[in-house]
Amino acid sequence: MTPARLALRTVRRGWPRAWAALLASAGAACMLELGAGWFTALSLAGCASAAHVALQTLARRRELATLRALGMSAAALVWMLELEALWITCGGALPGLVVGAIGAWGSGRSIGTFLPEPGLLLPLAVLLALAATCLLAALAPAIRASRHDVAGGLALLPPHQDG
Amino acid sequence: MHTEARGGAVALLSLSGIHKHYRHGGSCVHALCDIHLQVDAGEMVAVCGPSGHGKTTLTNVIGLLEPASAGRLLLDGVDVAGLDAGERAALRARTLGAVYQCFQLIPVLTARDNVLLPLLLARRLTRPERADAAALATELLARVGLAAHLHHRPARLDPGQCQRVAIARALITRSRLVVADEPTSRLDGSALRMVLELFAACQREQGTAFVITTRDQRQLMRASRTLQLSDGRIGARQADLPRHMVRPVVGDTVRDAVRPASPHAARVGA
Repeated sequence: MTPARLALRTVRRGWPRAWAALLASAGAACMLELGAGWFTALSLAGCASAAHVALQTLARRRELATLRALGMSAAALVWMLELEALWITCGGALPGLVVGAIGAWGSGRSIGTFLPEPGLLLPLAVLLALAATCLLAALAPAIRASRHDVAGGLALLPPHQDG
Repeated sequence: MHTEARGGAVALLSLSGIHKHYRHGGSCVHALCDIHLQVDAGEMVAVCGPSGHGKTTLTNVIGLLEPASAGRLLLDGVDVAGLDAGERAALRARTLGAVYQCFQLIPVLTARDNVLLPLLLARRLTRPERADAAALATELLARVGLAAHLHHRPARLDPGQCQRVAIARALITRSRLVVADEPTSRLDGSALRMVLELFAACQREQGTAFVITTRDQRQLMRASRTLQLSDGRIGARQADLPRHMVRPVVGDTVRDAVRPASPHAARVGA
């Protein structure tokens, strides 16, 4: 199981828990598309991404400790958490970009001006900027999670399984 | 990396003078005191004792999850004291299978993928290797009675089924040593019979050694040796079960599978 596949499965199964990060990246993408402040938008996305990974690593301490105990390297664990953050950011950014494009088109029509054709350059730049920001922001909590005590994580009581 | 041979033969697991203590605030809790133990291939050593007397700590130390505070631990001839975290993880992946007390299944993976996980994490498998591994996982799950639950996630399995998935996961790497912390605590009836049969088959066919903490009398009956752990010490009630005590208690299928008690003499010092 590569970290990428494990990350994808985790995100697919756990996306409802990531609604705050999804909303934040959607909002940031929308702001960037509409030409709002880059710093504010990227800060919003970065903070949401870092907070999401930090909370996830706390909530999933047992699971991450199990992966380490079963042989996943610390580097692979960091990469898995980074990829989870990336999927979440991209998953939120894509609808955000669509909403931003519709908003830009609508506002241009309402004030009687015609915006130039945006093409794909701006959305791509927005997506890349958001991806880079979220990867950077998630790095610290991911590294911290890879250094957690494995035996301590395994000793935590399961929330549902111990029925 | 230090290795040690003992009279030409290397014990699979050797603990000498192992101590483990934790610091809680200003006090020091001694979880393990002066543990001496040797385990050879094909043995099943059962560790019993009251709750909170160091059984899980002992399995954590043997499973290389926690370092000992003092003493010497040789696993497959390798002195683990000199290993860094990465080398310990590599040795653990190469030599050890583990069943944890709370099963520790990955919630987003199906039962079969959970069983496959140690193999998939070890290295990138080719397509034929992956197919072989999937077939082995399916077979192991069938042998613990979960053939109908291959694609169920842990949330849809009851605790006994989760425990059997964890057991299959520990066995899939065909490790030389399996460390299991109360592996049959949630099993009874036919499920327990299947698991004991599988353990016995692994001992017999692959020479797998088991170190098992248990309070289950039926499992103690099948062990080559039983050790009593009390207040972190291997106590006076340590005993080698005589061969005649290894007898079936749950039916003929188990009688066929149970390996006779290990010929290895006890080498346990208190």
